[in-house]
Amino acid sequence: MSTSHESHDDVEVHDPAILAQARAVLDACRSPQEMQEAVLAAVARNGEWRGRRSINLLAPEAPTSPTVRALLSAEVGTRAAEGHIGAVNRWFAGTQYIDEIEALCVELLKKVFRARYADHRLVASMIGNMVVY
Amino acid sequence: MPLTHAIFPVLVATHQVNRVAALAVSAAEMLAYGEMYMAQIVRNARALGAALARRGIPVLGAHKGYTATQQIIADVRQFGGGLEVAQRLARANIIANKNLIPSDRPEDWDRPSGLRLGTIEVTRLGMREAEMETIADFIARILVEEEAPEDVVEDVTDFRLPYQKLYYCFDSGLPERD
Repeated sequence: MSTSHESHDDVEVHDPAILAQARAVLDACRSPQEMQEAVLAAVARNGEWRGRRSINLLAPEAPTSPTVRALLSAEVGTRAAEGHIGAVNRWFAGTQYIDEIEALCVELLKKVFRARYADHRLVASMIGNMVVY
Repeated sequence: MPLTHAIFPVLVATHQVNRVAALAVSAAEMLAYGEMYMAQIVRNARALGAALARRGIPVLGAHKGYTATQQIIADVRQFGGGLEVAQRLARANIIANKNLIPSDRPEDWDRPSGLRLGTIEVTRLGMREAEMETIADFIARILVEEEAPEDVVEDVTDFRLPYQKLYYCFDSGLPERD
């Protein structure tokens, strides 16, 4: 398994030493659950260091409120909602509350930015740039 | 409408509605607290720029009060350049990023002369102008007085640990006035 990884080293842009360290961690795990624990431990280390003990002065970062953080793991995030707001504009059924959430979002964004048009789906700046330019 | 068509179906297929809900809730927070929050962010950025300059760290835009936004740019050439400085500060639990400044060439992106600092998070943790002086002190101890980051990190942590609540939201309202 490690040989197939190594043969891709010439196309790998990531730091190979850090990827090798991750493989070593996973190889030392006795079960997939231990692999999961390795991920959780890394997240916890970051939360403690960056979230509690560091002065974060990165200009593009913005911490979200506890309510926002809780919503990011809400059940609705597992639902498919392709299409536009409104029953006939969707690909999938069962979206009436999703319509409600999205309509509230669109109208709140219009209020915040004092705009007549807003879209709630541009949750990454690259997609936003591509739409506008 | 062409703009909406570019969003769906051209770029976005199934988007994540949890993020839409979070965005909606953030928008409500900004309706209530946005103006005060943003104003304090800019005051803090200007205060941090002035505090660093007073301690011998050159900050761009002095003639404009250093910034009109959340960010300031320091010229850290004399302290080893943006990459080296950002890595040294991180060892003291101060997280910032390297940045190109006007005297750099585009190909210097990996080792530029500038350091970019923003005040969004420290502001939301309830810090004001006085705390920017403290942060500038920590940075000057490492860059100007050349203290080892390992000798500063404990003071940074002691300063940071009491600030654990995020303000300007319905969970905790506005920071208390001191």
